Amino acid sequence: MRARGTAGLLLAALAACSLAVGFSVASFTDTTQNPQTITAVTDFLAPGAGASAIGKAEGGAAGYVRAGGSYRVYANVTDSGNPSSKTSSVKANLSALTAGQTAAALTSGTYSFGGVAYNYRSAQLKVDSGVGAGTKSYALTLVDGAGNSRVQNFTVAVDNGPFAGSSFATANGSGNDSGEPEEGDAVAFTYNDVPEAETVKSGWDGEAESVKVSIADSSGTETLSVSGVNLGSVSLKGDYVDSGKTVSFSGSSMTLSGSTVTIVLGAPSSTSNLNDDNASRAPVWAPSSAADDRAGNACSTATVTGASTRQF
Amino acid sequence: MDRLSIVFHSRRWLLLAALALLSLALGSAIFSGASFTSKSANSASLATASIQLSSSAANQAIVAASGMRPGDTRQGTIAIANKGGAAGTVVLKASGLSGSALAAVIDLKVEDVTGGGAAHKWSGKLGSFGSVDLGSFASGVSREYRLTLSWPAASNDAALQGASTSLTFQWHGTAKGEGA
Repeated sequence: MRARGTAGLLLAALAACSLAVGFSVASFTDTTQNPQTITAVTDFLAPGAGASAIGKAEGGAAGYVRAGGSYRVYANVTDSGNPSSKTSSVKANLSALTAGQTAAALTSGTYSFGGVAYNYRSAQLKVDSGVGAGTKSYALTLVDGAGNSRVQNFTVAVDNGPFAGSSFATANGSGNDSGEPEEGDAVAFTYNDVPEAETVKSGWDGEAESVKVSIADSSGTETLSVSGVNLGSVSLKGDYVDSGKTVSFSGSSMTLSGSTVTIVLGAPSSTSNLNDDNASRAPVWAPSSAADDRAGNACSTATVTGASTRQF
Repeated sequence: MDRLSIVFHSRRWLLLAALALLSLALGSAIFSGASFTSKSANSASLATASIQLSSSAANQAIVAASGMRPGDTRQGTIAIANKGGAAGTVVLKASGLSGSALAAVIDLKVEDVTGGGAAHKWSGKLGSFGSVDLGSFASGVSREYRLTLSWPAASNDAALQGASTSLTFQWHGTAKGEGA
């Protein structure tokens, strides 16, 4: 009896084992895997020139040159990266200005032109004498240490003049007597192009600048001049100061707006020496050749006659 | 030893054998009730009745993808075979993604190139890849897959310079239930 029970247990165990093995193949899984990493090169972008300009050798405003004038190319070049491979070369194709200069090298350093900081600059070059006026293109080729390169185009204006005065006028200040130069009255010198402020007065940027205006007797055709300023002189063709006298207006304020230099007269050195001249007068302005336009063209000394009207 | 003693000892061994078999059966049943995961070291007897994946490049990168840059395309192929005795389905999955910025830019394409064809299986941004069902693998079948990684040239954000992304491709095979 006991042997029969043991045999039964054995059979049950064998059956259970078979069943278990049968189930074990029912949902069998297997996995194999591949780790995958993708990496980017540390510098795949070419350098970029955030700014570039051509500046004439005389300094002043950037972006204007003249035939025969000397210039340099300036650029602000940066190269991104993580880390950057750094800018390796900056070359300029300036063939539109200077024949043969298809790859003028710019060297790194700390430079400034027209109030803007740059970190690359070319050697001084010269605009060919036959280059006509107009907008010219030049290209910078920028290469970094990883071999990434880019070409960026910029423009420069060639202005061959002529640069000259175009008009002169006076204006009566608010509440002032007409016909007599007084504090608050103004004189305006207008050119046919924007003058280079630096050449009108050394160190001047065109913002309000204190100057001294003088009106000197000249036998009834008084002369107006501005101390230390290359505006030339004006024959006022009228009698505005006493005979043999000169009245100066210190603290006069000079500003540049477009192509016009305007001076608002300050307090006169003497009011008793000032005269009313109520006749119409046509002042004659003799510009100074020391003033240049932005391209470096010197101003013509040809005189300019203002409108015949009561002045000041 | 007398006859009575022999009978007594035989019954005891039979009882012990029966208990051992029962324990084995219970253990097998318990473990097989869960989804059984095995590696390539499956016993021969179980392999004949299960799916067993074999890879031509197990635990290796499928695509050589270091030093990529915008405009680059890299490809790699891998053979996946079912060495088990049972047919099953295979799903390609991704897990453990890191470096999402680059993964959002890289395009992934999965193709079945078995026999020289190129059957599209999945394509899209690497970062959005979750899984793709590769279908049924009969016992003994081997298929070749090509993975293509492309970096669109226009996606040249400077912030991606020096970036990296990693993930694990998992080829997951499940045997078809024969007796369940």
